[in-house]
Amino acid sequence: MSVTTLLSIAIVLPLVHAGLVALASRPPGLRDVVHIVGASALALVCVLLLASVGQGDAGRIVAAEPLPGLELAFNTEPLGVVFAAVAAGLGALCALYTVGWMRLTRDPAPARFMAFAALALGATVGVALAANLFTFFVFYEALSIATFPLLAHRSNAGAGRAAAFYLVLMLALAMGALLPAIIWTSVVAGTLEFAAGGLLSGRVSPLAANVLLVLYVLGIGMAALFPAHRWITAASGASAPASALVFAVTAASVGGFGVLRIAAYVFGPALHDAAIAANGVLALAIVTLLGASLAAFGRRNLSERLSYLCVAQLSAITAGAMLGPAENAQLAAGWFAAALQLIAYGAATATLCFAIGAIEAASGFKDFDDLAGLGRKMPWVFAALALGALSFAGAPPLAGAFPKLWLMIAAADHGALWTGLAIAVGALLSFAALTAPVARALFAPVPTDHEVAPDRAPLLIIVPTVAAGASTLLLLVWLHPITAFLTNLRGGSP
Amino acid sequence: MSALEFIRTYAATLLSLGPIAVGVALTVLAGARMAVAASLAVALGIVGVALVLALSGASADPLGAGAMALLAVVAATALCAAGPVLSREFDRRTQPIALGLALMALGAALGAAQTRDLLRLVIFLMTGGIAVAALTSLSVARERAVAPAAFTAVLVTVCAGAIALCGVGLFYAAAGAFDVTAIATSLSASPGREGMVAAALLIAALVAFAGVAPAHGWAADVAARTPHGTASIVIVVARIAAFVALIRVYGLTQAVTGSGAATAFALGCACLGAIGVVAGSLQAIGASDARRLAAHALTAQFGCALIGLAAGGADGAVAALFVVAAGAMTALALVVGAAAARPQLGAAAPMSALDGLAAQRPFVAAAMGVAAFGLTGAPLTAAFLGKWLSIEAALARGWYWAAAAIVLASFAAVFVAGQIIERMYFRERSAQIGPAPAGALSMAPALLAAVTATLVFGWNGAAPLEAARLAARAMTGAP
Repeated sequence: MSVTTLLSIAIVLPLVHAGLVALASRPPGLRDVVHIVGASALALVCVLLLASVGQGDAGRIVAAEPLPGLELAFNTEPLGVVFAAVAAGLGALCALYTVGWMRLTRDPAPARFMAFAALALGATVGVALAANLFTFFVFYEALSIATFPLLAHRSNAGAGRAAAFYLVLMLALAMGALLPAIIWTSVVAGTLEFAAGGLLSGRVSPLAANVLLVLYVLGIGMAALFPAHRWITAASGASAPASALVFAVTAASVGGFGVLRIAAYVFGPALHDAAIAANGVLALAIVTLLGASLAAFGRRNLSERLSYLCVAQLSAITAGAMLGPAENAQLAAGWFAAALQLIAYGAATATLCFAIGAIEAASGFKDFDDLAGLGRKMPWVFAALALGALSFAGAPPLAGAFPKLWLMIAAADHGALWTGLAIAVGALLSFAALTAPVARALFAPVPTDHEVAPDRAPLLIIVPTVAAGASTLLLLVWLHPITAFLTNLRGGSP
Repeated sequence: MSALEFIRTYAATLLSLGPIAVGVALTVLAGARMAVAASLAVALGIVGVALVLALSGASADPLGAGAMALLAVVAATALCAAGPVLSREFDRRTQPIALGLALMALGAALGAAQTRDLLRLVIFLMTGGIAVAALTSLSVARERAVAPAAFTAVLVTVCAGAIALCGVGLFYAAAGAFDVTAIATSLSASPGREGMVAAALLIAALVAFAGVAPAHGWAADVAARTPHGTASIVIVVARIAAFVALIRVYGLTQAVTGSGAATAFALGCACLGAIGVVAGSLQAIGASDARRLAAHALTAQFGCALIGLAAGGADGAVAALFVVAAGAMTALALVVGAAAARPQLGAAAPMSALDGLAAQRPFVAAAMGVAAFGLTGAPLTAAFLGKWLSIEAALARGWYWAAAAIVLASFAAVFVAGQIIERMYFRERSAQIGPAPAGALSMAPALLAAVTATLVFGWNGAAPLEAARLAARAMTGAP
């Protein structure tokens, strides 16, 4: 199958998937099979795309041209293909988990959730494979809208308010900052096509570069940089499949990916022209990282604590994107670190969301104080939770270790040792925030008033949780091919 | 002379005087059923004539032809919905009068949009203004608060008409003609003070007629008080027609004034646009009435269009025309949707009438949802492309403040759209409001047309863009 065919399928498949799920809402068995098969097929297509691109194939398709020169186009740029494969792979696990969760909780409207999950996954793949800023913007907006019903799915006032806050914030920032930045880029550069080496490179004054960078970073609210981080913490009450989809697979990951994509493919070397803004954003990312890590300690609720740690981890992606390549350096250590962090973040967050959701669904417990001894009742789930927590903390050989190492290298390249120190402190805080309660769950005695049946979580919940946990180890194996893949982030190989 | 040739030759007369004549007849003669039948016949007629004009090749006046096609679609679909809604609003004696006045306003609007004769333009606008005022005053018996709105409409029509006539008179004194092309030819060689003053007066009057900020307050008041059945014609058709006339006269000012004055006119229009885009958007957030919201949203779109127009060149004019067309479709969906949501049709259409609409009228809610996203300029809607073109034109001119105003408007529109969607999809409909009325089928053509145009032209704007290009070239003389 040609690369362009695979590209077309990757874009169209989620729409078909969503339509079929909506049509096959009854019987439940058929609906669930359609959802799992649809998500798995997308993952397969993205992996095939990754393999084709790995063999040197390239492709570009144009779906529409609303205005002359303004194309809705997709291509097989390596960073995008890697992200699409990761998102679609985790999306397939999410689909499996969603089916298990919906059955366990007897959700009243599973078909609606699954249809929007498919659309959200499709929008994420669209963002990943976007060939230009216009397409990126269109799918970014589509993602904002598609994820809104997922966050609002729990029919309580809190979930509705959080979802409405999320939607308004995302749309407002995108319309108010991202869109003007894109149009300005179009006027300045005469093109919107992503280009290795940066489409603004050599075409923009330092003042304009600084303003544009601020607008871009502000506009991508999904990256959850302070003060836009509140959308994640406010949405922490969403259901587990929604949290996994929105925090790990789609919105939050797209935020990190978007900032990296803009830094590497829109600015490129022009990032040095925007040094003031880049340093400002870097400082803000570090403040967010440390602040969110500290704030996590104040939360006893599992989901709330995880949401703050997600904010901290996402900030590390932004930090890497802003570090980029040091001037005259051979390696784009910052961008490479950000790309690795993106992958590690997705795998670890999905694991943690799955595990916390499984604990809540099976036991009804939501706070850390209730976890004592529960690990012995739910060993698989807590083993996955431990892997996710250790990956967040950057413990080798888990996925989270490599990006932190590269972030420190990038910080050293730039002479920004404070950044390296902050990354290390953030990792320690993550370790303390998550691993202590996990240890308590695994090793503390079970209180006598706890009446928990042994591992009531069904297989459809446990399997994706464990699989996601195992994926945090896979970066060890995949590091070399990913390194080879991402050489075009800046000319040479890291 | 074949029928086709006849239609082509007399299209302007048929489209303007036809509805006016039928309207006059209805107010005097017909019963309620006859009035509905006549209005549907007029709807079919104007669509047919507009279709013949569109399919018969290049027009000598692309701006008029394009505006005609847009207004014909809006008006025809609005007339389809008018009969059933008016039957819930008025008794059998008042219904034909309301429809008759609406047809008079429609004919005047169609005439104003296409005429190149300035004297006729003013007459059409004044006729339309009086018809709108009379139409609004029909609800006085039900709600006394309607009276000031109707009176304001009369006052604006008379004052703006007088100012416009002064402008037209000055043009005639300077150029010896009423025709736009003749005036442009006569004055472009030797721009004088008379031309400048005449242009300023005419633009000021058209700003008031179209309800462009800062003279937009009356338009919002009238929009909130006019009968639901004919609201689309008052809020959308009449204002868009006046705005098209404004675009035409703006083109004339660029031709007949010296370069310094032309730049001053451009800057002035851009400032008006920036004021409109900000004021309209912010007032839309605070609107407690769905039709007032639609009127303010249209004011914001006019502002956006003025910025594009003033930014200059064919690209700016294209942006303006695209924005106006997209704004018309968005406003149409909002106004018709508001009527479909309101169980007891009084003069007002409170936002609370939208509560829980999605559960009771999912298709109406979906159409209004698309319109709401169009308001924000969401991608793949026609409004997005309009905003894109306007911002691009403003940035190319170096007017960052104007681009910022459009961005601010988009920002504000998110809250407006969020409010509409939140009410329709996330609120329970209280018993006090009552269930949404039956009979939304008559509104389907309007909603379908609005949604189709918003989405199809958002996906591929080639066709309207080409029409806008032709009009812009004819207006600016660009190759």
